[in-house]
Amino acid sequence: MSDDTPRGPRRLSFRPKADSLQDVFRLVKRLERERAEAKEAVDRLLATTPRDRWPELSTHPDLLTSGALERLGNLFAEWLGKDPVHALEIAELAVSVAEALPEAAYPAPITVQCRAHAWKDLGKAYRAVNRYQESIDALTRAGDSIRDSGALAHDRAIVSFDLGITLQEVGRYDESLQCLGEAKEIFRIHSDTRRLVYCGIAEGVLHQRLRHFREAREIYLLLLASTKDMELESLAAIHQAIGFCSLELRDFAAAEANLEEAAALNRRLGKPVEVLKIELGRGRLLVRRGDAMLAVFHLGPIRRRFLALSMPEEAGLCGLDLVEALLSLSRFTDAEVLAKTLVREFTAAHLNTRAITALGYLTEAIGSRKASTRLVTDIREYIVSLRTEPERDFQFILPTDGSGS
Amino acid sequence: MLRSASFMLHTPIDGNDDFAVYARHLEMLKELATSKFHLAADDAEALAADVLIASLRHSQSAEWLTGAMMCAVQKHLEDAG
Repeated sequence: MSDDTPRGPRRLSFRPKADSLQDVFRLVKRLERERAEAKEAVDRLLATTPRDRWPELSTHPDLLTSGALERLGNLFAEWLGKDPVHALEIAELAVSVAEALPEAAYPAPITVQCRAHAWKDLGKAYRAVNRYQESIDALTRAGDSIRDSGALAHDRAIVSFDLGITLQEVGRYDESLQCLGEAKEIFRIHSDTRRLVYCGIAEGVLHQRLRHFREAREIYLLLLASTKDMELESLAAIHQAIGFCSLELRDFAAAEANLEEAAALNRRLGKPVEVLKIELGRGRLLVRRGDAMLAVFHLGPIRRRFLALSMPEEAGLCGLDLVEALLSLSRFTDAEVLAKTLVREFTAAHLNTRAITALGYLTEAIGSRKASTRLVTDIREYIVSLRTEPERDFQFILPTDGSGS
Repeated sequence: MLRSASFMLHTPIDGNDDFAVYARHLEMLKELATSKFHLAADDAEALAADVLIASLRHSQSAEWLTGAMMCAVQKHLEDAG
């Protein structure tokens, strides 16, 4: 070190083992080799070992490499959307392997990174199976493990983002916003536009959960205005969200335009189910705008398509929009018949018993001519809330005047 | 300085074995830390190696490396009080 160069008060606390270019280059070559070898080795071991004996694999030499852990991470990501329980098994194995990595196997950033991502994946897996406290614990562990490493700021932001998502699921909104804010700042510094948009969407969703539709819409609009070359998936999700926020804000023109744009984008992406959900929103728009007759014609076929796709919950929510439209048209008998059908469908599909109770309550209210369109809206929102709060109590009070709208 | 370092870091390093590319990236990251943030040369080199190693799992674009180096330096300075 030259004498004329200013020096900090103390030396790096996180000094890498690889402190020359040759070492870095050798490490790159080694990681590439291990990555190439890992795919076959990991896949073979997982395929030939019964799952109840996977814990024994944690010290298998073929798994104790960065490449093997990356492969486990890739497999985890592949399975998370298809079979979260299997993804959890993979994540548990990855954590065991990462913790068994010898300290001297790699320079510290690699070892720390391996462990942090293994714990992060475990946190995501727990979230996917609704084990939220365990998810928070695993993600906190991941974050703690890389807190002291300046070079791993991006990894820390990825963990922080995931923690923010889990915290939303348990209603810890302030902490969630803080995590997302921290992650956003680091993603911005790294010019990671894709993850920056994910953070923005997560913030918007949080505000929607709090029914702060105006704030949520502002966030989405800002994302649209400030992001170039956004992924089509994100663009579609944002237009869809703006459409639903605008619907709640009774800004029907904006709702219609954005839902239309979202539907067109999802058609391009080949996502028919998303298109169907957007069409459901357009049906709700017709009801809110006072075009109840049009809504009945629009929503009927959509509900049938949800049923054909074996999506009873979405079909039920669509049915509730239909019930609302029928009540608006004073077609009480039709509304009552449909509400009874919804109870039967939810029961047959073994959906949350609280949702079935709420639908039964609605049916009785319609039968006694005490149901309002507002009650239908409240019950729909209650059923949606059961997705994230399955134990939430059902508490509604019938209007005493028996008004039908 | 940040802009020029970012410009010089434009070559991606994913998967190729061009030793010179790594050398240039390491040098540029080091320069960023010494010229912009006045870090000691050996601290800058250690930090640059850290960032380069950490990048192997990520994008390794010029913007990413520059951002990672800035965060690493900031953390270093915070730790140093």
